[in-house]
Amino acid sequence: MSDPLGSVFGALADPTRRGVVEVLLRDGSTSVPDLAAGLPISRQAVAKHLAQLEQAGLLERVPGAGREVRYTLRGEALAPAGAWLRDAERSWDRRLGRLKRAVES
Amino acid sequence: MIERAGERTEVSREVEIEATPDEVFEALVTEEGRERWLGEPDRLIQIESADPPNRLVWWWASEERPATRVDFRLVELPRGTRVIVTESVPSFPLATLAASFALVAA
Repeated sequence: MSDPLGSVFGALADPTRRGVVEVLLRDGSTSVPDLAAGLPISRQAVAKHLAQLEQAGLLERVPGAGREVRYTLRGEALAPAGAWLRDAERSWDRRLGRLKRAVES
Repeated sequence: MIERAGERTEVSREVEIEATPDEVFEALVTEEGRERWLGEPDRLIQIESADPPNRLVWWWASEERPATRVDFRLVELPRGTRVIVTESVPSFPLATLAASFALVAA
């Protein structure tokens, strides 16, 4: 992908697709029939949303029972979230250290 | 792993400072005060609420980073002030993912 950042933003710009990601965070995996049962849109529309999330690198297919195709979030897609949290913690440790020195001086 | 990442949407850190809550609050709420320690002029800060000298909440963002919420609580101690700061992302997963990918892309 030439522009992974842009495709991720694009994939997540749609509220339905954000809802799909939230379902996956909650349930671990999902499928077109599962999602269509809980959303007021057709199976075709669900499949299209899943395809866009997959193209953005956020989802991957895993084998389900029989011929069922299930989707999960790619572990790597969420690993950077952990990086953000660690970065935020380190940044606040540094900032609070500077705040302490500034106020006490 | 994924479930754990999904549950955690904020970070919280704290520090004890040998100064009164009023002195600490001043360093947080005014631009002049922040210049003495924050040193991140690219971030735009919008104060959400101020309850001097106990609590200050701001939102901040920059071109690289989507908006996050920063909540300071100041607790008076016998010899100073405890500052507890909590930074949170407004809606997981969009904001966290976007922030994460922005970090990776930087």
